[in-house]
Amino acid sequence: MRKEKKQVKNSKKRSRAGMIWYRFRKNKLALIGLIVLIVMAILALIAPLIVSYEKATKQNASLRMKPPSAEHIFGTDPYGRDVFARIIWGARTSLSVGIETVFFSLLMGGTIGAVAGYFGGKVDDILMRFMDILLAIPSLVLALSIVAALGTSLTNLMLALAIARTPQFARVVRASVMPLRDMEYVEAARACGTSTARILLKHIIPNAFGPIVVQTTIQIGNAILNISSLSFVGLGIQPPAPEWGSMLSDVKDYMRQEPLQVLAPGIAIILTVFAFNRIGDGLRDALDPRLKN
Amino acid sequence: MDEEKTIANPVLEVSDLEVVYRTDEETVYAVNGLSLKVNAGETLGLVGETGAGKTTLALSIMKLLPERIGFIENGTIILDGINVTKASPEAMRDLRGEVVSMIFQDPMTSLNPVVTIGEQIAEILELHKTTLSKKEREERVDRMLEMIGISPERKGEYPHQFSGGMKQRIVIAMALACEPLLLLADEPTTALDVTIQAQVLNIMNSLKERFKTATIFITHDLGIVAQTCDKVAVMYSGEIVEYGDLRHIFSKDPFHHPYTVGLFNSIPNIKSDAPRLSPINGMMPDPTIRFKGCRFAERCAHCTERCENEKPPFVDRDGHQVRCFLFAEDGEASSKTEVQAQ
Amino acid sequence: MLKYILKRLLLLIPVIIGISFIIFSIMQLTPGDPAREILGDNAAQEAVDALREEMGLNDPFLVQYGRYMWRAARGNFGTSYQTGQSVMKQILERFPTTIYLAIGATLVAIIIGVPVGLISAVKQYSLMDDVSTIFSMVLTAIPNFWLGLVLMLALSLKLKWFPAYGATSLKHFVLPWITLSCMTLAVLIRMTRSSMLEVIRQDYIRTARAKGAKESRIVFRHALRNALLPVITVIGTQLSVQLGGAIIVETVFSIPGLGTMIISGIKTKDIPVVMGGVMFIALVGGLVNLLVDILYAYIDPRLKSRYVGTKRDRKRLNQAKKEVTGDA
Repeated sequence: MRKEKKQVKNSKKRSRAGMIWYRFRKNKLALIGLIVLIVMAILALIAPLIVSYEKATKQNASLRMKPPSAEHIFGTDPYGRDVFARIIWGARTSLSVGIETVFFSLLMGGTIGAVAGYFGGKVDDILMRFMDILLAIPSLVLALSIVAALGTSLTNLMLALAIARTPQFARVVRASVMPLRDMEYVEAARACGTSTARILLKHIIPNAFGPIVVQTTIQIGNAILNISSLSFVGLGIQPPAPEWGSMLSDVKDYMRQEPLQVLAPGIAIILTVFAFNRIGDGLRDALDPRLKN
Repeated sequence: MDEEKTIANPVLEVSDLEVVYRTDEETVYAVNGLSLKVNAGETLGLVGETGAGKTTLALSIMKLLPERIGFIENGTIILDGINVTKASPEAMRDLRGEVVSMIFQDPMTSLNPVVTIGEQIAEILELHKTTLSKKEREERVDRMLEMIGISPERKGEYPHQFSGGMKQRIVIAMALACEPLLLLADEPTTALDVTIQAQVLNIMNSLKERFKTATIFITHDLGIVAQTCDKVAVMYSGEIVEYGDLRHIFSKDPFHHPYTVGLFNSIPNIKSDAPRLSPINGMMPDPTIRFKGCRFAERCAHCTERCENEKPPFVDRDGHQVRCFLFAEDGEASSKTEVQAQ
Repeated sequence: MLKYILKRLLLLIPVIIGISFIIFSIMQLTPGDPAREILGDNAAQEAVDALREEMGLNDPFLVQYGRYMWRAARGNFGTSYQTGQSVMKQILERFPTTIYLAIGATLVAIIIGVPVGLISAVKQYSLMDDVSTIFSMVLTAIPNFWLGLVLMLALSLKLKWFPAYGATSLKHFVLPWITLSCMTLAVLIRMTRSSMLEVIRQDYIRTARAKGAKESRIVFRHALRNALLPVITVIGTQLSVQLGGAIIVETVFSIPGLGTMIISGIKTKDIPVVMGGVMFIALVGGLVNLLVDILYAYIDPRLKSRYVGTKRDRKRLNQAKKEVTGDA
């Protein structure tokens, strides 16, 4: 009880956002994650300024598997493309596809979860049973079968990955909406004749904000992992577009010659996913200190 | 307390105990220079509101304060001739269960859900009565179960198969299985229904009489104190403010600490024609702050400047001790009358 | 107990129907004509139409689904467009390899993850705790195919300790096991640690300390069983995740399992093979979860007594009630 009092005292001194940032900052790993992600994002954004897209995609038989040099600091891949350029442009691919995918599934899962949680009863039963079944299929298997049916293209890949993680969002949003549904301020809004959609958007979703942000962050990292896995087996981002997973599949048969080409894309994936996971964790602690440990 | 030393040998002697809880953010002064004595076979009631440091005191005696947070800063705890504050972890393990046992507040959670109750009682014998054979141990478990009114046949069952009252009786049987010298009962009946409370209290009382176990009974229920205790200590904000025999504390005599008076006024009394309860105003002082004077000062109707700046001494009348300037030899006589008015 | 198992089996049926329906529906979205796929581009339109009719492709969707499930229930997943072989036969040939891979990887994760998580919790705040926490964080971020490649590069291509490809001996499986286990290992370290920390905070652990029990006894006798209960559930869900992960790891190490079968099925548009494979993996995942739940119910006495010897228990419960009310 004493602790709570103290927090009230503190939060009076700072704004809510300031308090969240204060607690987030105390988590060193989360801070490292944030810095890594910012660097990645900047690299992805200014990729055209660093190195041309052509260098990352144009095949050149005379440049196959060259060791690192001043001109190609990570060397060249089996198709004569600059590995460094592919890493930088790969960041652009992974981040944008990962983020777009997750926002799409947040939209779908969030709507389903909010409707299920708000209406409860039969609607809830049917929707959530459906989500449970989707959840029973490993997300990679589900994504694979969607890609298998629709064919390999960027849109299909994003659709597949978005559908595969819809249940997670539906669950999180539903769990946050359920307890809020019967809160007095929501009942008051309902009594005033506010429409259901408005109640959900204005009164309920903002209060479910914390868990949704955390889940979104972690799922982006997860989606990036899945994209690279699918690309690695040739069912994700299609060549010649630069993507870390497909880079690894390209060098698979040549890796004895240039180990660096195996390490570089892998480390890029690990750093990005690690960053998203740490930020998600840090946000969880910062947004809801009660959940800590 | 000096004169009692000659009468009986104390099982427990706590002197000048100071306990703090320290975290990164703050330090909570939970027990502040507390001294206490419990004689063999005696039952001491420890009363006071939540947060007064009662449980902390009990955990200090067991040396089971939360790791990395709770620290004994000062003072000694002599338990059966052994200084607990200096004892090694091994020595403490030998004391716990054998010399001193503790019953916790919530019977629902104090038994291990995946171990049968028979095993849980037998364990304490296994740990301390190493000379007993397995058969003797089992017989002893059966006997304990019979004493608490649970059929020994059920010893192979798991805690969730028993009701709350039965669980607390099992906890009591467990605590007393080695016939310890001292039992620390931390609000053992608070979590139970009123009807079950009486039944559990009866069993506890009959067992501790049988084993001649001294007890510290922590409670905020003065009714229970009246039923079970020989001595009473009133605790406030980490200190004992009044100590005496049961009859002293419950006497109509005006010789009481203002806090005790307030405590008694907060219980409903059918006989009294007072129109309403008179609870003590205000809240317990912030335990993160150390005080120079009396910790009750800011809630006390008789507070003087002196109370805020100086620690009042114990005033002793026939073993009945009150820690208040009102009764000090050099105290301000004027306010004495006010207390009497209550 | 039998009652509980039956109940769980019954609950599995709607899940199976749901999963198969979803997968069947997804597969129906495939553009192109399966009959054309089988007969090739040069076949006459009449032949294609005839085959369509023969295969029942002109029937309504639900009829097709019903027919598929009816056949699947009798172990017939159709025939491959590519090889004309029975899909079930292919699955049965390849399934043992995949399950061997998944179970082996799960065991690796349990053998390392549970003790590490346990030590981490018991020695909270120690260096060991920090190291294992960061280790599990990094593991979660590692793509398993990359770990596979790195292990292959270092241990088979450079050091030549293990073979790089194939699945003919135990030695072939060592690297795939390690590779596939990494995600589960991370989850188990984290789960065991947090579960143990949670249990150590419980009142009954304080009771055990108050009895004078040694720290090792408290950990092994009082905390471990309680702490492992949630971990068991996680192991169950992880096993089905591993079946999915196996698809990727099999590709890395060229292991002829269900995963490589599904991937090549997707690349050759061999829908019956893909559908059969995916459905099989999903069903096995469901069954594994069921098995784990039963195991869980058997270990946790609170659940067990709800289902085991219910009659005697009910009698005792009544007796106990009488005892309490009688005494009071």
